[in-house]
Amino acid sequence: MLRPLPTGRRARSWLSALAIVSLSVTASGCGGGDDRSGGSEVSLVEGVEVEVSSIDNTFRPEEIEVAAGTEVVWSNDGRNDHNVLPVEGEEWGVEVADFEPGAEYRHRFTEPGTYPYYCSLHGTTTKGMVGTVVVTG
Amino acid sequence: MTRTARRTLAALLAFGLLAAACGDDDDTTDASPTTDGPAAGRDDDGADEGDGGSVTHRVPGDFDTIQAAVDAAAPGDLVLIEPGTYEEAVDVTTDELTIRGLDRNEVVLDGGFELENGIRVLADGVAVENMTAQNYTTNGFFWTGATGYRGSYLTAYRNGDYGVYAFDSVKGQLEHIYASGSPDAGVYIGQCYPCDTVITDVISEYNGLGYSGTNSGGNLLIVNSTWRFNRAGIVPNSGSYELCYPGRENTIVGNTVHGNSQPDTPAIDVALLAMGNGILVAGSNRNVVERNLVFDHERTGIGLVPFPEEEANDVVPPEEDWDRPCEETRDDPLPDLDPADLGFVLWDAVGNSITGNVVSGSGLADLALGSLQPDLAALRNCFAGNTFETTAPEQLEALAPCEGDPTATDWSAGALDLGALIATERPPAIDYQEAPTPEPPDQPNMPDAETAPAQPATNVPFSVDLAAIAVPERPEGT
Repeated sequence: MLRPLPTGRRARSWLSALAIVSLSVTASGCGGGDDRSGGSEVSLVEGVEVEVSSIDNTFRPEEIEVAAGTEVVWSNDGRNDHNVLPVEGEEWGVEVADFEPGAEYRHRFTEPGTYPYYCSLHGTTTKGMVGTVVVTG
Repeated sequence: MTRTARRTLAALLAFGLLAAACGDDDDTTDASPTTDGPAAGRDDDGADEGDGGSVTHRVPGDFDTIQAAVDAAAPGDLVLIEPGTYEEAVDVTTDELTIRGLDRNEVVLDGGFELENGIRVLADGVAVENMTAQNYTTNGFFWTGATGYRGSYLTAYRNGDYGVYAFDSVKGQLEHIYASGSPDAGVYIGQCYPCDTVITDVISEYNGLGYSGTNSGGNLLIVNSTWRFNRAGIVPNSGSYELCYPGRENTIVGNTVHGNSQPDTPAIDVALLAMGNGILVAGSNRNVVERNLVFDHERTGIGLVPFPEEEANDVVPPEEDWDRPCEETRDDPLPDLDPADLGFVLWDAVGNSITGNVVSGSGLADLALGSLQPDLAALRNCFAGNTFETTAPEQLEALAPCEGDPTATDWSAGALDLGALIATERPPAIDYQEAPTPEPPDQPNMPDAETAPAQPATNVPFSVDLAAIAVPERPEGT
């Protein structure tokens, strides 16, 4: 979907894009690319921080598995408003107002367990735009 | 350069040109539901039970709210709604329901500028019929993740995002729709390939975009509809902010597209930038645009332009991947890169066929093709058999014929003047709650709403005889 022009991080990049364009960008910017990772399969994460991309209208990856103590970073990489709401409890999560396109939300998971979450604008607790963080001990 | 000027330049580059057109409907497609017999009987819960075991749940007869009736319904049931104003946001999670208003103009779901969606469907095979949704902060009618969906005889008025919205959904039918007053699109379909969907008999007006579709296509027919008085008319596009990119293989036939230079509508920024174009193919591919009537646009009637996406989440997939279905590509992982590192990605319009359209009254060009690529021929778009007055570049049908070799080679003559676009100011967007969107005139009701049996969306899309569709006649008074 087409959405408003970006602010913040995306706005800065937009201006960069303009600069590139003004220098006659060519199709070389449209090539393929295979530098990929993650995906629909459960992602085993090492380290202390892992990112989940909130595009329109999907969390990517949808499910991640991290060690206790890992900080999960959700970034709104779409053009839509989204939120990140835990299915149970209110100890973490971010509302639309603090998660506009280009924004990030961070939460460190310290206790092992399974933490399902969803975007209430584009899903319910079980359908649509949903995700899961599995925290191992 | 000011920020505004930069944005305008971006718009130019993104939408390169502009287009416009208009026309009238040619009701060659009858996709209305069948009406073969009333429901009868009554079960123990007080709801009517039809011949086929379908139960009819009446609102407010059996339930005080639409949501309560929907929650009580089982697959195959009918929720039948009496005239009235319903201040609800309804979520549907049961498959194969039919949710119907008894009077399209008098069954009104009203979000009061506080509720998000009129009816949001997260289930398969759900049909929504014969009602109005207005004043919702996001969408009037919204299907997501559905296999099988149908919206018939729906009016969506003054909603904050889209009027009628189908996302990540396939096998659909949107018909007899009136959509107005949304800042994004009156009708939007996103993230599906093949979509296997028909959009027909739509009137979409006074929106930011009449129709928008990102990363959608594949047996997606947009036919026999009127797209008028929006900022821009029909805008298929691509971007990596949704999955299943790029947009491709839409069939746009027999539409009337006119006056899409409307200055006083709500509009997202991109709609402002696209303003003044009739059919604007913005980075979408392999589309067929045929036998449409397009007139009266400030910029282009039918324009093929690139869409530059900043801070993209992925690069453009190689063309050999464009035949892969969405259900397969949606599981492709995103690149392990920060979007800021990926930077600027250019979605070009490739392999589109523009034939047999009647286009006039465009400020810049009736037919236009632009790219940041120096070799426009390499994009393999073609133009043939159109009726027009101007093109950009000049001799576009000779430069890019659909059959045979080109008979012209000078792509520079009359090329699109992006500078002219940069200098063009757009009237600012108006908040959707405040915009002077006309009240929808009464719209036609579905036949036999009281007696028609439930018809879940298990048999859609309905077939369309594309060959029988002619260029629409120009509407009277235009």
